Amino acid sequence: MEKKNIFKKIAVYFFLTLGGITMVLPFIWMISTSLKTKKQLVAYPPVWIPNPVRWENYSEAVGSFPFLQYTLNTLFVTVSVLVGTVIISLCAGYAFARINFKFRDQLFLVILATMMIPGQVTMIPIFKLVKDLGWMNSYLALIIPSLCSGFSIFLMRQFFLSLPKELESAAMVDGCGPFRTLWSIFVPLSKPAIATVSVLSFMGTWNSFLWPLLLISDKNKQMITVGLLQFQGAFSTSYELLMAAAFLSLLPVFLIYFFAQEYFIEGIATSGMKG
Amino acid sequence: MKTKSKLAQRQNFFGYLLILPAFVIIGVFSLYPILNGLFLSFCEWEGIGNAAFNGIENYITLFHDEVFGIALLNTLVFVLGTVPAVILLSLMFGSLLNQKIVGKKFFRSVYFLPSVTSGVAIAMIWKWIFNENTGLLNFLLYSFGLDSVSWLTSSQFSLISVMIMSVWKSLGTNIVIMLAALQGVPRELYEVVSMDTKSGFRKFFHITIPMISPTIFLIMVMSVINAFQAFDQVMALTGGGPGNSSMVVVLYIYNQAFKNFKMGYASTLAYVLFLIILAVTLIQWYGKKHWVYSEVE
Repeated sequence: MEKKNIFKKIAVYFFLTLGGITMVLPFIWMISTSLKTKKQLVAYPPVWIPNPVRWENYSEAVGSFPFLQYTLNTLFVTVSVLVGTVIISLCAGYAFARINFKFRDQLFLVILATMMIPGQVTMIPIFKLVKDLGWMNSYLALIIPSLCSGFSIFLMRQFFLSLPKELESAAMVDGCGPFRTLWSIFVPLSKPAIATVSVLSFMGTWNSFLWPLLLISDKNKQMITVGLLQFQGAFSTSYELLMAAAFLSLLPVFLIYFFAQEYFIEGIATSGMKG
Repeated sequence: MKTKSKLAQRQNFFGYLLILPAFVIIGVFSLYPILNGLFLSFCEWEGIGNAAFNGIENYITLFHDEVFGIALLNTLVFVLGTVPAVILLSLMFGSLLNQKIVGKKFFRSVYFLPSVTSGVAIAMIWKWIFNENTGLLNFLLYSFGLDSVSWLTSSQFSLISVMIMSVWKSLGTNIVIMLAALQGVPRELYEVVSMDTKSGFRKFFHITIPMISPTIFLIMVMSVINAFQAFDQVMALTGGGPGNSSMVVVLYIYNQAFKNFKMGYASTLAYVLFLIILAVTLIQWYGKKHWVYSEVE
């Protein structure tokens, strides 16, 4: 029995490690490639640790393409969407969870239904709408339509439902109106939910590709994902530069993931609970 | 009585006020575009000027569109190839992570890593890995004594390459969801059963699978929807080629709308895709009662 258990343990760790390596290796390969000389790039068998290390690939990538500009553009749009999403989903989630108003459940169903609609169906009508509004090449086109995320509202509502019922009565005794109650009692309590909504929103906007591709054509205003694809078009065989650029574009997400991973994972794990 | 209705009125007012911003955006950027998309699908429109109504002409064109047929077939292959793989692998790794092991959180974070990254950057990395002459994957095959494969440049393998990359990218999310479900299975259930059976496999198939079947269902439905919508990664990895060998429906819609400027026809394609997704989702929904465990019933 003992022996069987040890074998089982070894097998579990073996497969977990194998899976882990599969997940990480492409990223390590990207970093390794990004520091290679042209000669090492095609070396056979592949070289894992570049020697000599060629840091210039990064300055060349940044120098030949406006990555810094794209990063700042993306940061601006991402933060705008994040702030708006947090406010809107906080308000709506609070209303759906704690206020008893007419047609509440039906309206919530509408929110859930819009979550199921594939973005590609609305791709052309939204393109037309943005054109008619005169928002082409404007960040308004990337920010405003993204502000209402059904999933964020859903997350906020779930969180507010989990808070004790006595909170409102305590606030009533203190003479707080509904807005004061939301702002000074519920918002401070909902920091973990806000953090989860924030990281998911960040991830969604930072990685968004379809909308900037359709709605932004001004080169200086482009987002990092579309910029990256254009860079690939221009330097298709210089894999050392492409990998340097890819790494730079991923770096902000990696950093935030490193420091806030429990909120990423919490948010995703919760999505399984709605079934 | 009077104060009660006044309170209800106040509640209504604040409720509507708080959900107003959300509904303005949903109304303008979801509901209106859906209706407008339906209208555009019956129009000819080149992206400028007004859309001209042309009846069901687009729908007739669609039925004779060979490339759409290819794209639809590729998309179905993509769905049928990736979804079962994602379900089985996430179930396997979720179960492994649910054992008593050291470093559970570390492994979970590692598996989730590809899920936080952008499809374009991922496709760039994989393009390099799939490279025929100097790519990592062919070197690996060579080390095992196998022949090298033209992953991206042969029409035989291009779609498979996209599928491999997509499974790799979406696995982490589903492992996290699966693990959360597995952790939610009450321990007592296993204890009751371990009285009369010691087989781990029987426990797995008689308790674990039924208990987490709602989550498996959810992962299935979401993965199918996502797979039908594959776009970023296909565009950045193969661009649908060579030929149309890895062309998927959404990429075809994009090309029709923004390369050929047949926006009306592209709307028709988009609507048909929407209806297909809806039908597939409903079929899964009605099939649910045969295998998904529900506490209510």
